[in-house]
Amino acid sequence: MNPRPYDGLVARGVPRAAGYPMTRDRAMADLRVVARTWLALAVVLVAAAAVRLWAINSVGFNNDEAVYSGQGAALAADPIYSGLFAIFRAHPLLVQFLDSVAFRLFGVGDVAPRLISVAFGLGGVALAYATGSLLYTKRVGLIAAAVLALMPYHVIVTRQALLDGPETTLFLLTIYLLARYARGGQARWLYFAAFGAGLTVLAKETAILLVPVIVAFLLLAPEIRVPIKRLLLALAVFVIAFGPYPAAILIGRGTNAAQAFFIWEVLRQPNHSWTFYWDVLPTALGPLVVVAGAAGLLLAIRRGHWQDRLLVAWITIPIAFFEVWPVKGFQYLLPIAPAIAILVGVAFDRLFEFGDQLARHSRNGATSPLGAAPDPAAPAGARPRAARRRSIAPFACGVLLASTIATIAIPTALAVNTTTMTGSLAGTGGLPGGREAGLWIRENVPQGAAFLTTGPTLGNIVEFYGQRQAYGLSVSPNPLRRNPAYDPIVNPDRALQLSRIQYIATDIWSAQRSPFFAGLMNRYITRYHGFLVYQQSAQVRDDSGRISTQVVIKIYEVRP
Amino acid sequence: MGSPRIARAAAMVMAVGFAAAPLALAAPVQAAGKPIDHVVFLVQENHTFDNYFSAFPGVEQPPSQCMASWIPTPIPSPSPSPSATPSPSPTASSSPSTSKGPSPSKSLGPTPAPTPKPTPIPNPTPSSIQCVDRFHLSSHRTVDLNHGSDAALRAYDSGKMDGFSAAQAQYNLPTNLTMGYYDGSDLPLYYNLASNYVLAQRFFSSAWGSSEINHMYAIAARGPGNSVPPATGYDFQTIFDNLQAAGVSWKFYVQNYDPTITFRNHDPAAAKSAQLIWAPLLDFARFVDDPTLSSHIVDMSQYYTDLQNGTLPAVAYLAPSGLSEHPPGDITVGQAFGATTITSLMRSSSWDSSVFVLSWDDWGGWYDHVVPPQVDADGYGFRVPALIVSPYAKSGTIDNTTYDFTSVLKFIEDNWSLPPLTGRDATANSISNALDLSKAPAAPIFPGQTYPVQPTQDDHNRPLLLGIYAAVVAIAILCGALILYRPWRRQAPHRVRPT
Repeated sequence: MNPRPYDGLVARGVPRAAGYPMTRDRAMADLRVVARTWLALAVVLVAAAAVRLWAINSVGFNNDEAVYSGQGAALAADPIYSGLFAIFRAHPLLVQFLDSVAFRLFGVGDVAPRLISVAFGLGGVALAYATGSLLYTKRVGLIAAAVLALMPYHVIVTRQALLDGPETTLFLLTIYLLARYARGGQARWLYFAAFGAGLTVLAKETAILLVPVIVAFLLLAPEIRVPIKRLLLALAVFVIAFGPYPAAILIGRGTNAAQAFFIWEVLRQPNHSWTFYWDVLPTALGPLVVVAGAAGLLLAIRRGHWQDRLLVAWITIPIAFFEVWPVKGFQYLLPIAPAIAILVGVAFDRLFEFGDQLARHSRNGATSPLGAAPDPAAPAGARPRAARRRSIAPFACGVLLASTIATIAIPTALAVNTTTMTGSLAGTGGLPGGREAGLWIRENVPQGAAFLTTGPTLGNIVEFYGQRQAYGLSVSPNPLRRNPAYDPIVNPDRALQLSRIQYIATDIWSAQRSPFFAGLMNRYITRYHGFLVYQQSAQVRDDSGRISTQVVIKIYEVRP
Repeated sequence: MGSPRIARAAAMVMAVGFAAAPLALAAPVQAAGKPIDHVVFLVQENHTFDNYFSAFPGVEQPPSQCMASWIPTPIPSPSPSPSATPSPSPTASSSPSTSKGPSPSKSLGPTPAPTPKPTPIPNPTPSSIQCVDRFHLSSHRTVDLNHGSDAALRAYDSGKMDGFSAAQAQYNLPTNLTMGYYDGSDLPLYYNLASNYVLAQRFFSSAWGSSEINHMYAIAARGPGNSVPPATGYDFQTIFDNLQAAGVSWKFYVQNYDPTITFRNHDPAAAKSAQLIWAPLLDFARFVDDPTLSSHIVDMSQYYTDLQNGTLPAVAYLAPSGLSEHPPGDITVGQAFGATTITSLMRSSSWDSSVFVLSWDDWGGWYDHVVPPQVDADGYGFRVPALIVSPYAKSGTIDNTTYDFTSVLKFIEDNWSLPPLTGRDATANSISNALDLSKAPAAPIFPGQTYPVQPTQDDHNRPLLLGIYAAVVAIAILCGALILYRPWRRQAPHRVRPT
């Protein structure tokens, strides 16, 4: 472990370590290094902001965004949304609380929640730099920040008003604080880390995986000592930070709801096959990023310092858990994205190191870093050519890094520039046409009207944008088979006969997912004199990648 | 057989047409300068105001005394008759008189059955007299209480309003049931409509007695004269004659309409014979025989089609069939039917220029505490509920103006400059008192499914919840400030790098 001299010290005004006498030239060189570092970080952050903000509002909310923002509006005491969205659902309310503050300041809308998510995303990029720099080198930090800034997975999710972006950033913050403790041993960092862990769980309860990650790290790194008293105090801090979740449930007498959610989460049916993450994540992460991250992981395992063991615990435990957990979600593994970015940084840092050594050796004419001595029998001129080849090694490494980043930047740019949607995978984007249909409902459907939708996805859109009650036909009357937040229609015929539902809304994504219920909806439309009053078109990409304009949402008036 | 009748009917129509021609020329087809282009009138069945709306906040409350199941006063005899001629100058009459009441068969619901005759009851011993308090009906099963004019006058008891239970006892019907009432949990759609629009709490049925005479008042401002139409049908003037003559569009929408059931084949025992009660135009030869008139009587499904097509006529009367809320029918489905007719109008292009009046045709045997003013020999009868729903309605008000069914006719006549039919509608208060025609039309509000709307648990706990989260966020911000600014961040970092 050779400390790299001057790394990051000048910028912070820290006195130099003994043994490195300050000269004017060296000071200037340090300044240039720091300036270059900050400039690079600024470029990365600008790029990260650009891809997250570009056309951020071109497509309306998807199902989950509508729910979380609706909760935020209910928390902000908006009279309409209070009647449509229950505050107590499956998740804690930290993000919804922040949304509610924005709603109180700027009114209920779909931009502020996304900007909050973007802010967390940018914070995550900055923290990736800080964590990479803290654990390894500034180059690792910069590469990690650049990768995370442009990684399609992180960009797509942090452009949406979901809980996973803030959760990931707070997860990363906790790891950073823990690393500060591991490096210096000061108790305060452990307490900060405990508080950060509590906040992370307060953003999304699945972040409770931080606890096994930290425990595994401390077990794997016995050199990081945590006295029992300190551990207990940290645990107390964690509980204080996490406390609002159980406290809110108790205060709101939402115990039954919480129990129902717990039972439902534990017993709900698998929604994807076990290969789900292996199918979708390599594309979302970028194939070259996956390769580089795997190389970095191998390097980390081989080296085995506490920093490496922290990364290994950070990566493996969430993957193992969500692989075993029957319910899969596109964005569930987002908290490991920064770890992957740092591992990519580790791999490239090693590569750059190797390239630098090659270049140094070529300049010095010494033995190559591979151990091969110069061949004295080689013809004249051969050595200069080999030396030249070795001297361009750092440049080649840079090109490889740029190529890797390009392979994620291009799909990211394409993703943020499109308003199409290929499927109904939660977390992959907004629902094209949903906002337009919802706003039409708000303008044209009388207050107090109720909708029947094929499933809760469009129902939540109708409720957020349309501000009208909606019931999903596919919501199971069996409490073990439904999200407890949703009210089932036990007898749709009766509800339609009694005029409790006056509109039916269908969408192509729910029809693809639930052909049975789509067929049932068509029967209700026929039976109850359905009269088409609105249809919304949008661009849709089919499985072959072809984009076409299709009618995606239809709204019918119905009557007994 | 039918030719002379048809000829007579045609001659009558022509006569009416010619007589009205100058008026038609003078009166605009559309209500120029007036915002109301459509009046829709739905008459459900058999409930008093107190039976339906005494639990609505802000209405006049009935007295707390219980109702004795027996009163010493004899059954009034004779009972009022459906007036044979219009009353040119209505005068209040405290003791309606004259002959027999409406046909028993027509006082019933969709499946007419003979009404029991009053049974002489010996004077009970004092101990056997019950005193019945008002009670919430909720899920109680009901029966078809006697609601003929005899029973009405017995309940009225010369204005003492203390004979409601005794009137039912006279017919061996439950004496307590009449005192039952519904509330917002039973009638959420109607209560929510009342909250958002106008609830008329002094809307009286036009006449003592049951459906037939009151339905006739709703179209002609007078009673039929006979309980059973003559062989040639009735031939007096109705509002639809005047509308036709003035060139104002109209339709009479009948649920499950069967055009073969008319006064000519009237059989009280036959299925669907009650269609003649709810659609009294079918008791008129000209409305049956003249295609230019009969084509205006259509099935209820046409109402929805017309709304969707934007072809709702200026005046639309709606007649229910089995969903009329007539006891012992299910008020839930009847309420849904009533609400559907309103919400369908709300979501149509006609809403902005419409007024919808929903009322109930007679008292149904239920208690009501307000003494009805007596304007002539026919009535008024007991109060019935009435909701006036319009984008121009004085939102959320309880209207204390005295109305009856002819108040709707009065409004139609005023809006389209039509002459009055009788003295009743000439002197009636128009329902325009419930409207503010100078304001911009309001967006429609569908009636909610629950009443009253209870604040959620979330509403109660929101401040504390927000406080807790705000505290945690504040602590987090404080921690961030400490991390960024405390001297310890100046300590030299200890770095490793890949080896």
